[in-house]
Amino acid sequence: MLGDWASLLIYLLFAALVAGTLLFASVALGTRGRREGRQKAYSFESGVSVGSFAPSNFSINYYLTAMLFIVFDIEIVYLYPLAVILEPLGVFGFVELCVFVAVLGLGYVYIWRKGALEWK
Amino acid sequence: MTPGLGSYLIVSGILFAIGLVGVLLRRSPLVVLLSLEVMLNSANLALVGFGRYVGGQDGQVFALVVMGVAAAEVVVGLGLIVAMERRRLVLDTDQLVELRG
Amino acid sequence: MTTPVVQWGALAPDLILLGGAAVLLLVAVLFRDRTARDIAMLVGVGCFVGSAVAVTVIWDHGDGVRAVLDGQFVVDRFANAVRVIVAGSGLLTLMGAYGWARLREHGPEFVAFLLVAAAGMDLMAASNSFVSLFVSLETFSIALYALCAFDTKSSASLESGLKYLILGSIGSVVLVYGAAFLYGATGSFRFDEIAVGVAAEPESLLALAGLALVLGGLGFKIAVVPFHMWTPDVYEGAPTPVTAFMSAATKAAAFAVLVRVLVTAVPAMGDTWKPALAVAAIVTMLFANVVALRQTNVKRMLAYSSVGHAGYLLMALVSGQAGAKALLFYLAVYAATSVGAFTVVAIAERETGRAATIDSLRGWGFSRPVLGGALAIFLLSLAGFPPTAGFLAKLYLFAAAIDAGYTYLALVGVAATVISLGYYLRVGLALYDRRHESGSMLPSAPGTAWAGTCAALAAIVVLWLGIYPPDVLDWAGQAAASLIAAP
Repeated sequence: MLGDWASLLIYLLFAALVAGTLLFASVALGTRGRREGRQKAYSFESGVSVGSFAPSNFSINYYLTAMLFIVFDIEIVYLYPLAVILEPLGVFGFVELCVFVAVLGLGYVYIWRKGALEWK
Repeated sequence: MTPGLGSYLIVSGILFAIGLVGVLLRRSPLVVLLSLEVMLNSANLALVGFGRYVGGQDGQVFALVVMGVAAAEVVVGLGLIVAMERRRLVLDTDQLVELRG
Repeated sequence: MTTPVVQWGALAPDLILLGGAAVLLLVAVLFRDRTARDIAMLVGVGCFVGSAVAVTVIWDHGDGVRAVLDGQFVVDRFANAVRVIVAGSGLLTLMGAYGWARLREHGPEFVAFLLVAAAGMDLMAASNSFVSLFVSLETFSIALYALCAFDTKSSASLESGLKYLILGSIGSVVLVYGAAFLYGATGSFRFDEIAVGVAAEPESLLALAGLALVLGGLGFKIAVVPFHMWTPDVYEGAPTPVTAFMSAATKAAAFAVLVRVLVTAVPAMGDTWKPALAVAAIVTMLFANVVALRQTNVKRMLAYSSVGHAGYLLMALVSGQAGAKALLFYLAVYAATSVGAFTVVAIAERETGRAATIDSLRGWGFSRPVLGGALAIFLLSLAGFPPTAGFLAKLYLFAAAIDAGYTYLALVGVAATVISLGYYLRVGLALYDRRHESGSMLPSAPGTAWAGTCAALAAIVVLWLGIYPPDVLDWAGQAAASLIAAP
């Protein structure tokens, strides 16, 4: 029974530690509190504002295209291990390859027909 | 001299800590996603390091899988950020106060 | 090199779901608006029913335990039982979501995400290795992130999606890290091989750290205190049909895989994880139910209630085979109750045009007798009143815990249940508040007929399981026996 209570204590300490660390870290290291007030509104020397993310200079299309590129690009990584053992796998490996590419192709048809590739 | 398991784990642990601090403290969701990637790749480094230590390819295969999955996750995250930008929401995680907590 | 063998039959229930999702992408391209939505609904319902039927076909196949895809998955009755629960939740969610305005534009995408999420959950419940566990976990998680943000016109929905993504990803990273440590300690990702390695060296610090990280990572998914902080925000912000599915099916899949990891991969470390889980159960039950008392938003309250139920379910993990049986029964009951409750809340939101709070529901039970009655049944079931199924589910759970020597857990569970009465009854009383009786029946909002049917169906299931449970209990018993041998 004592063992159980000891683990309760450890667990509570752990829970408090997790919560406490997260809270403390965001208060102590965070920038919210310190930048409050008028200082926050001033721009930096070079005129770049304090605000974190100013995408207005770029068309949203860049992001969309980049996203689609990343996902199709990275999926190709799975072809590398397959390519290494494609020969010994024979027909099975080739069919697997075709299924994989077909699924990617389905995604491609979807984004194409939905007009995500058009530069508006 | 080749680096041993300990070196891999130390670098991986440092990367993990950098990523976690970034996720918790940075305000731009883009940087938060970046930090998440750093965390995932620290896990990858640990996997590959253990893979060398144990011998065999399982660790490397898992690392490849993690890379693919991480990309899919980040794309969804970027998609959400683009959707928020289209709605002209302020992109600052401190300002995400629609939901408490 | 021999050609790898693929056990198509054992994977059929999941392949049906994934195939349906692929078809729906084409439907989204070929059809528009309401036609697309109606076709998508038919495909979705067909896939969920097909998946459940496929499970019944393979239920008695062989000895019921089969290693699939070179041991990456184990399709036993336990996994199959979870598949049925997931398919049932998906079916109810589809019915409940039918009238949702957003589906008129993006119906096929919604159903496709739902099917992919369900397939990921099914596969996770059958995972027998950390690689397959991670891939299936991310499959359903990514689909759920997108579903949470599905209402792109609502900033709360987008925000909940992003929050879930960020916190969920931290959980996933922690899980991968834990898997890496266990791999370093034992040289394998497969649960059965990890068990051998851990048994040979049960005091290994590396394995201990790995286990702690894996439990932490999965703790994010099942929302156990202190990893629960995303739950109320995400549940509140996400579109209500999505919340319904998420609360019911995610819980089933995540608990199933947690049992599998604990029982098949690290049984040798039972002395370490059993006390830890017992403590987590105590803290979760008490904390969640106390915090829920303070909530006025009904979705938020149900979110804390869901965290509390995760606490009860943790009790099952330390209670052996009887615990696994009680766990499955509880998950089935909770799935029906939770989907039903959130569906009724969704209808109330649609009718009043604002978030459902205790005040906005005052007197609602009089103007909506069927839906109000159904919600009352769900609340009673969540609180654990007979003759609803929630009572039996809790009874079996507590009995299993007592049999396994965890009487104090059962006592805390009873105490937590008493606390939880405070908020369940508050909503129930508000529903039938005489002072706010409007006296007239409200005209039903358009498109709520299917949602109403869903709620009625869920209520019937809850009552049926509460009054005549032997069939389902027998089914849960078989499933539990396929995973854990009787002591």
